[in-house]
Amino acid sequence: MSELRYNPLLGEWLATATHRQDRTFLPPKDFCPLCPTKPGMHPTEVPEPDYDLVAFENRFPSLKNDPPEPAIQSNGIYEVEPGRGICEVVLYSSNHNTTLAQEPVERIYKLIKVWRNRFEELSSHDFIKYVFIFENKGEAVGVTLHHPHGQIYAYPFVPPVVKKEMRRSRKYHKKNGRCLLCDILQNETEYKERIVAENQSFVAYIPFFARYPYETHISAKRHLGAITDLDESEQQDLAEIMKQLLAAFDRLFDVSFPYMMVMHQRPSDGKPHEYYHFHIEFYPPMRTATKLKYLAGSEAGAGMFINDTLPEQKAPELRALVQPVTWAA
Amino acid sequence: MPKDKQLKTDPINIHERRVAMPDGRYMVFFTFTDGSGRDLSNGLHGGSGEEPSALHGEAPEEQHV
Repeated sequence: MSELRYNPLLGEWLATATHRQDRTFLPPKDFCPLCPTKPGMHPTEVPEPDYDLVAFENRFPSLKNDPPEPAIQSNGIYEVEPGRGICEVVLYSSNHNTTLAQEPVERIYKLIKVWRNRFEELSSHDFIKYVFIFENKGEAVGVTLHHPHGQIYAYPFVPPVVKKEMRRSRKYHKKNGRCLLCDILQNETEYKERIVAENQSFVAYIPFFARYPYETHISAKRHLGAITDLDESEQQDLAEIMKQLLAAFDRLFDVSFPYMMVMHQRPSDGKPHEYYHFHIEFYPPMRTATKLKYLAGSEAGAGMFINDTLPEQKAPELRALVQPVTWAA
Repeated sequence: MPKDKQLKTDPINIHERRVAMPDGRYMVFFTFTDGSGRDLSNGLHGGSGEEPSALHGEAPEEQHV
């Protein structure tokens, strides 16, 4: 059962998805549901003996294209809606024992092509207002399957974090006639100390306002709103800077670095939202080689993050670990 | 933005094959070709990278405030 319930205190929707309690949880490698189905072996969710990249509807979706009616009715104070939306899984590789950070840049380039394909198709549904591309990596952020994969949630509304960013961006643009994120990027590139990596199209940086010690943003230098706006060289540059950042993450503590990766782009509601700027945010929970950052009372209950570190001191650590990327001939 | 933007490699083309699953879900398989139509799927362009054994540890699972 999945339904959307509205929180009148915060003015936000949340989804209940009770069937997800029964989803596959950290299965042994031989029973990974995201591996290809090898002849004579246990059948997986992917009924073919090999694949390059695959996207499919989540077997345990939080939102569905054809959801059942809610079990309870809205009343004067509580609003409830069917949990309508689309949840996809994107498999990065048929190799169970890899991660995006370990893959060559060419695979990340392919993944960018897949993200563009899914953004375009999911955005074409009338009831979809926002396409949210993300990855949860590592048990530290709650993954239930280790096979390298990301997810896409296509929401019937603009989710609250993006809505808040858009409101701030729109207000700034109205007051100053400029894009807020373009100005943030200009400030960061002039200051330099918080830059982790840079190429002709993108900058990776730990922003002035980072909430996690190694929270890193990748922003497009050109003002654009969505991944489908990237030209060919920008797609390749994005693949390259992602490879550099993810590999630097892994080198930091010599572990497969856990993170949440979220892509912020314009809504899919048919409006231009020209004041908003495409970027990707990474939230790694590790604050040292042995300690993780928790969302505790102040963060979860008050919305005020406490960062135990300074971005100006953490960015040089990552920057020192960034290495050149080699493309296959 | 620099005017002399350079491509790092030849552009690739994406191809999709949509499959209907028995339970009604869809699955989209992606393949890739270069400009001459050469298949760039697994093993030809962008296969698996470093072995995971290159990394020596696991991230901590227990969180500390």
